[in-house]
Amino acid sequence: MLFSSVSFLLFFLPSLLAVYFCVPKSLRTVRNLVLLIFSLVFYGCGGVRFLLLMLASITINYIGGVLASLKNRRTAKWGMIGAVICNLLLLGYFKYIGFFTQNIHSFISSVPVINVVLPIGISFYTFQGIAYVADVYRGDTQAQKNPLWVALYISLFPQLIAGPIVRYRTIADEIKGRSENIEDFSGGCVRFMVGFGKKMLLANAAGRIADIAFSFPVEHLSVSFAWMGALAYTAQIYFDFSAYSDMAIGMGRMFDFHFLENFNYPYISKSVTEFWRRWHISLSSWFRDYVYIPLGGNRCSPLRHIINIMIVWFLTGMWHGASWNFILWGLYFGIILLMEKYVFSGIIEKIPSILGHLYTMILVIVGWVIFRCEDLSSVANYLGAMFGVHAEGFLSKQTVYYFIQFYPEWILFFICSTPVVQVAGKYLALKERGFANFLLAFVPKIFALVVFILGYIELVNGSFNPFIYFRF
Amino acid sequence: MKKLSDILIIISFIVLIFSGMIVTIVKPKEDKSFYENRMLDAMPTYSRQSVEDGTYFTELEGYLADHAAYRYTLLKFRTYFNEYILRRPVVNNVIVREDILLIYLDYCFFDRDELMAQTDAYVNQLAQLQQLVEGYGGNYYYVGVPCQYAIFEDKYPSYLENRAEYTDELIADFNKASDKYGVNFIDVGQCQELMEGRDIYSSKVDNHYSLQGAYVSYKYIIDSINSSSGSNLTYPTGDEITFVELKNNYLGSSSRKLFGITRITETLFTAEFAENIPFTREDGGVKSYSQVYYPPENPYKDVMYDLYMCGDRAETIIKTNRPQLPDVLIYGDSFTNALECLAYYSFDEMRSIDLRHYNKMSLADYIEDYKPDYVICIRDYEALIKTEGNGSPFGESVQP
Repeated sequence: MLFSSVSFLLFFLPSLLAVYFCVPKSLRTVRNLVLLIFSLVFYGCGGVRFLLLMLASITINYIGGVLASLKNRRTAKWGMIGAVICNLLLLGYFKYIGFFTQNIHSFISSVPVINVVLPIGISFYTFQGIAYVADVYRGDTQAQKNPLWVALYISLFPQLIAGPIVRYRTIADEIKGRSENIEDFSGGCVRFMVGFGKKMLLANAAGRIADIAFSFPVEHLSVSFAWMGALAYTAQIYFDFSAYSDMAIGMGRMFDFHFLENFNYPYISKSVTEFWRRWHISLSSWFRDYVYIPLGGNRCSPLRHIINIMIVWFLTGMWHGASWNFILWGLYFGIILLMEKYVFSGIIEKIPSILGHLYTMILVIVGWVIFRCEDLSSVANYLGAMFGVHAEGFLSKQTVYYFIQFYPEWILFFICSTPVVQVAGKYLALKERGFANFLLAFVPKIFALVVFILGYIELVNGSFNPFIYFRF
Repeated sequence: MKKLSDILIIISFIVLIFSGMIVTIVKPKEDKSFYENRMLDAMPTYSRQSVEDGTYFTELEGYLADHAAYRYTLLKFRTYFNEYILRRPVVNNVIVREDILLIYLDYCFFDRDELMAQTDAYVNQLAQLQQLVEGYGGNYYYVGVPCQYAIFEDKYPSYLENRAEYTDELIADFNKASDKYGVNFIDVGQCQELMEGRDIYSSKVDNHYSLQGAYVSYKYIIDSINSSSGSNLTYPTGDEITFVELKNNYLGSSSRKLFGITRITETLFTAEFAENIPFTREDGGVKSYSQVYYPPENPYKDVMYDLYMCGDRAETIIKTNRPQLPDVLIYGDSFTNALECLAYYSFDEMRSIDLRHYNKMSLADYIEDYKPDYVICIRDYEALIKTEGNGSPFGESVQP
């Protein structure tokens, strides 16, 4: 089930809210059980058989957590390692076995290709599980003795299928004792509605353009249309992904869970390093805390640091999907980050901001092309078109059409990629006058309501509404 | 103030999602979406397998989206918003121009050699059908009719596809192949009267021609048949035919996609012959009313192209009981409908079949069985070499 679906919006969510808030606040355990049951139903809608996998993950992490918290450090260590290995085996089998056997098969044809259906959200909840067990082992958080609450943490539906990757310590206290209130619920509604509108109005429109451009016969792809397609995908992946995070954070707030932010206007970055501090923050910090630092981080020799960075980015690429182009994409960013660290650091700091933005966006857009294409030859062909290798000229009628047809969206892509609205809000907050207060109180909410309704219209129109994390 | 706004937004959100749920549950369910011209998804059937693999919930989502609360009203609003507020050039796959609604065409890339080979193979098949008809002394004609996009190529904005290049290439290839295999091809696109009077003869809200356009095309076809075969087929001219305008608004395929929200309006016509030609009509072997026009019950209802012949039918037989005249079998897509309203004038018996719906036997078997004097296929440029439906005269399993 997706957030941007009628079944979720008009059936799942109202039913959950009705049942959840009918339970008195004092009965926290019952409220948690309601959330757990609904979360499992939410996941089960993607295929009941995958629930077994989810239950296996919960069991592994519960036992792993308990073992990792033991005072006997040796047992705790093996408990933690065992849980991490089991998590990775599950992820490896369901996500990567097809990729590995396919590659082996191309060299040794007697090895059969094993095709396994990828369970939705497995990368997200596996990483949450690993983070939980590792944090317990390190003593950063206490092990949860009640398996139901581990189950709730792992399966909590808002962040289950598209993140953010929530650390247990972020919500541990809130599982036990939170206090739902009007302010949080209202803030959650607004955040959810904005996210929903963002997904339906911006991400899907961008996706339409990107899909056309990326499926266009490459020999007919003009330079401008190739760039337009790449830009559209750049917009799609940001608005889609950040919209899911907005909806997740918003729904979390409705139930008084406070997830950390996952995006911070990444497209205003002046370097790729900064971009990765602003993009998918929960994943970057996960790799930092559970791979990069344990490998030695940057407190080692430059060679070792380079190796650490490349390992992290190889894994980051792999995490996004079992395909060579994801690995290439990860290594591409790994190399750029190393270049920024060791070669261009002085230059990047000195160049004018506008050049920094331009440099970053070009590299990021090229990165998204590598990410979007389905195989390496498509990557080469598409990048070739972007840089004029094919002879279809610079401007084509497709570019003109997709610009005119989607002109409102192009304007919004630009505005919504920047913190313009946030800055305006801060400016009004400083005014402290009656009218400014009125605007601050009502305008964001009315805006959220309008985009929600417009998003709902797009939803019932039944047109293009993709879910782009199916490979994650 | 903040607290008030918090409460109001919560109430609004709750009311929206809960009323959405209730309305979706209680509102009467329809099978078909008229304006979208498609069947709506049905409630999926439960099975253990479909629940286990998740397909049940995917299908359920399709059903709920099709039957969601306020859907129809909101889609109309969306159309209006895109058309008049945002002024997008293309709305619901319709190109909205000042004076015409055009169908949106995907960007078209074609390989000239491949198109020629495809056309050649298609015409070769027609040649075999023509051979079959001529074998018993009949006459076979394949008629290409320009559809709206071919007639109004110049009305397309320069940045949108109008298929002009493809159409030119296709017609040139078709003529070449027809000459090569000796197929009697009549290209109505060569009819000057039709192209010069396009504002009257082609619809501005639909892909089809008007009844007057069908009449001009019909005259051109009969003249071409007479001049190539020495036949003496007649058609009504001058006072022998009168066109009568209906008061109803014409809801063409394009205006229908826009939910009727358009400033461009059009009406349809019927035709009356000065000479009274009584006839009987059968549809699919069942006797029906002796009529070829099916206007709405009152002038306030929209009229659609199915005014003519009651739309696409698998098989229609019109008998005029004038044995001195020849018989004709007309087959083809919906462009046949308006033309058939006039064509029975020239023949003793007119049969019409549409292979998209007729499945009792192949066209070749039907012809061998019936042996009409004339077999005329009418297809528009878009379908000219399409091998499905009416492009499959030997049936799928018996393609030569």
